[in-house]
Amino acid sequence: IAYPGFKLWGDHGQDTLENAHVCLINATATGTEILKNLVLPGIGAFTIVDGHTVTGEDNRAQAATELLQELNSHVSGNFVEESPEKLLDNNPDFFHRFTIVIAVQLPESTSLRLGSVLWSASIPFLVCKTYGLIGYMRLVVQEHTVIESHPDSALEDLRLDKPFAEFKNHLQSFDLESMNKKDHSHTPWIIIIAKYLEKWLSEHNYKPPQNYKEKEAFRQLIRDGIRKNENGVPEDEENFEEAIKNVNTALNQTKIPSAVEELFNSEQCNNINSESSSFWVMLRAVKDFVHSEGNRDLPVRGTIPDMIADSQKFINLQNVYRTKAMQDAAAVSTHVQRLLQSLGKVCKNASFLRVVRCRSLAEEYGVDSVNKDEITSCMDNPDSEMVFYLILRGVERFYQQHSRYPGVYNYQVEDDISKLKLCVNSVMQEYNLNVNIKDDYVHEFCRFGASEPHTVAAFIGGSAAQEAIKIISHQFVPFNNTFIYNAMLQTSATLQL
Amino acid sequence: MADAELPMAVDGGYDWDGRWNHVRKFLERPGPFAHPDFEPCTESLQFLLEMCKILVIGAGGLGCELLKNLALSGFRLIHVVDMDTIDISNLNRQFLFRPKDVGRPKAEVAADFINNRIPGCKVVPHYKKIQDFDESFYRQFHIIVCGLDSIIARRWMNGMLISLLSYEDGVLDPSSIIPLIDGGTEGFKGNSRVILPGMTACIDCTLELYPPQINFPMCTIASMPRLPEHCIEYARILLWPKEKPFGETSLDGDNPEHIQWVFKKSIERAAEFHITGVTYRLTQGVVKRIIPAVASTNAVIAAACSLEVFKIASSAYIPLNNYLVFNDVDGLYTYTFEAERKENCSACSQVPQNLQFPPSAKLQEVLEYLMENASLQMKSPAITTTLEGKNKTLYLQSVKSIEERTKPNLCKTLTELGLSDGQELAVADVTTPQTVLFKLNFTT
Repeated sequence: IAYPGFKLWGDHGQDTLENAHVCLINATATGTEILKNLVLPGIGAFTIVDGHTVTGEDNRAQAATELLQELNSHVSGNFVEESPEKLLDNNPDFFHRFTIVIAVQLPESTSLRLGSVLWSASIPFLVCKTYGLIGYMRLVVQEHTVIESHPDSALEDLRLDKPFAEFKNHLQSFDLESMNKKDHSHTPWIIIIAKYLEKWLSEHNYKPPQNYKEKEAFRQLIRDGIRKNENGVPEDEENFEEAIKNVNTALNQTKIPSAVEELFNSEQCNNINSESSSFWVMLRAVKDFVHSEGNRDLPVRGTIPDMIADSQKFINLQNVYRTKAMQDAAAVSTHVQRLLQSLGKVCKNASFLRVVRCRSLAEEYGVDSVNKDEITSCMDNPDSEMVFYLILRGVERFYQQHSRYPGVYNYQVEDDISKLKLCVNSVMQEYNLNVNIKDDYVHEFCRFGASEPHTVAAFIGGSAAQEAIKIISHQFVPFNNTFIYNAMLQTSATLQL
Repeated sequence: MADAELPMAVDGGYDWDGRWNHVRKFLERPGPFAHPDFEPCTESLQFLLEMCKILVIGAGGLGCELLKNLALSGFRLIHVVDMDTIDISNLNRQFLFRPKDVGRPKAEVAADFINNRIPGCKVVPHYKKIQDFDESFYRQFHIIVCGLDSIIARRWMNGMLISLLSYEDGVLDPSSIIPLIDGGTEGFKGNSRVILPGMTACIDCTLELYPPQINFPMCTIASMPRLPEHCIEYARILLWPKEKPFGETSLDGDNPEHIQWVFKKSIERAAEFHITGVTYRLTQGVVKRIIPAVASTNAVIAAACSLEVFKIASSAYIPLNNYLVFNDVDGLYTYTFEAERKENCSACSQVPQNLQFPPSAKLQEVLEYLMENASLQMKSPAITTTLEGKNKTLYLQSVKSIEERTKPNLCKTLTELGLSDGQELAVADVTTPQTVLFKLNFTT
């Protein structure tokens, strides 16, 4: 089976998927949807933990395992007919073998217990819930490194403000004035801007165009460079038009993104030791490069965008950047050798390194550590998705008190509204939160009757699976740390709790 | 208040106790966010199970998800249309298919799977193109949901539903409206929208949201390649028609032998220009214009679409109004907004479209305008008009003999062709099942 996912997360990402072992707790509609979306792109193995039975016949875990196994014969599927509570009682180490644990429809107490075990073992934990027309996801991971964040709109790394020696050399081989017509109109815009920038600098005290007025003047300078025919009419030189269009971005200052600076200044980066993960060793190597060969800049990325040019000029220019990038990578590698590790593609994405840290469940639920600010500021708008989080907390309180969920049977709906409201309020009081929770939402939650509609389960199924893939592959940035989906209005929000 | 859930006594005993509980809660209970027309009752479930007819267009990545979601939400009378057969590369997303199904029609395999696994469900497959059906087919459905990968097909479907609308004294008859739910995905991005033809923004109202696909300029491909993609396009566009490696067959992106041929030729081309990066995978991607599909995005978008089908069929909630955008590249991001109708939409506004050209303009210019204008984006428009009481074809591409006969017209000016100011032109195109009328306005 071919996995086109390759093209999006690369061979390296695919390897990590194939070596991953995912644990799913509770093979409900939501749970099986999540697992289906992991099995299809090719995770190596999964284990379902579920103590429930299916309509008195097969255990739910077993039935689900068989169905999912059909989807991909290469995946190894296992099941454990045991409740997670029992496992936590008798064998909490059971969970240590997993790359990530995903739990759905877990009662609060179990989530907290399991959360604590996984936090100590540094295993990522994804908690999901489908409750009527509300979807909920909570990512719990201490420190997650993103090696390739693949930003959608990345600025190019052209170094036109600080041209490196090999580029300057290459630039000298171009003489725009004396070129023939064909060469002139097929010179890459990067060269054009670089040439005219040299001219500008020599005429402006070596200061590049600073404000709008100067950039306009710079653009005009380039425009004046367009060849004219014998009647004085400017020729059609698209490469010059491209240059003019790209002046703004080309004049961007080369600098280290603040997110990366923060990483450079962090404790883990400065105190590399035998316990340090390869991520931090690589990061330190990049930092050391920055302070030596890099002259305070990151390694050159080495790619250039496509542009109007003849093949040879384009490829030669591309090679100048590529060669420089390889040199920089080699220099970083030497630093790493020095720091006892080997480097790979991390170099190309030095400015895309990110670390995601989520608060633990204990912190979220703790009376002293609850994120009151986030809750109260969101609830300035009483229709914010935050209200669904708060009512879900009330629902769990209801379950603790009544050993059932509100409104499961028709006859319960009306009476449970006031009971649920009491529960929600008691949670708010414990945290000393003064927020307005509209009665309509409490009523709606009773109407939900703890149902798990398949459409909402499928939405969470897709969302959660993709976040799990991000965690496993260390590519693309996962959410931090709570995601609420309101299927009634088809809106969503990410909250930091 | 009624106690517990009544045991289901539905035909054939398909429904075990509690089977549809999760659905009934929304059909039988009042709530503050229900549609104003909503009336909780036990008959709603009957309607869903026995009478509500849904049409799913496409049985691919989105289609498989849609069928599953609808079937598990209580819909049983479902038709599915898909003109493709199953390819091995589909298996990692289109989970209703197994290796043994490769080569069979998608619609049929999908229907079989659902009907076998979800008792009571009666999916009817159609291994056909949407254009093979006419109004009488489409009119029978309560709601139509699309999981297509083609903008042309979407626009055609859009046009078909608009043609079903009936107006009495200029007032739209609501019973002639068939809601259209449309879903689309590309990698980690996707969108889901609700269209009430004649009432809300249609596909063509928001055509600018679908930018035309990137086609590399021919001169780059022919003489100045820089990227591996240029080399692949060279093999695809120039070499294949010239060398006809497999006889008269056209290039099939799903045929590995075809791709292998294009791949080999692309490598040769790339070697000439010292271009690196041509791989088999890239070749396939360029030929099929693939933006790799991701199972999870299809799951999310199909889920949103299926939920809207449920909302509209049951009135349990007010439907999405009317456009959802989803992107999970960085965290998860959704944006919901109301796409607005375009006053002069060429598909749904009933406002005659204007064409402004000087009388000295050549017909070629009109043709290019119809294809390149962002709001029209026609593919191969056929232009006819009435001259001296007779129907005259000015230009038509799809029939070879007519194309040859009318080709010289492209170089003639509008006046030379006998057209006058205010002349009505009727334009037909694959993007619409109905002819679009344009009014020619001469500029000075």
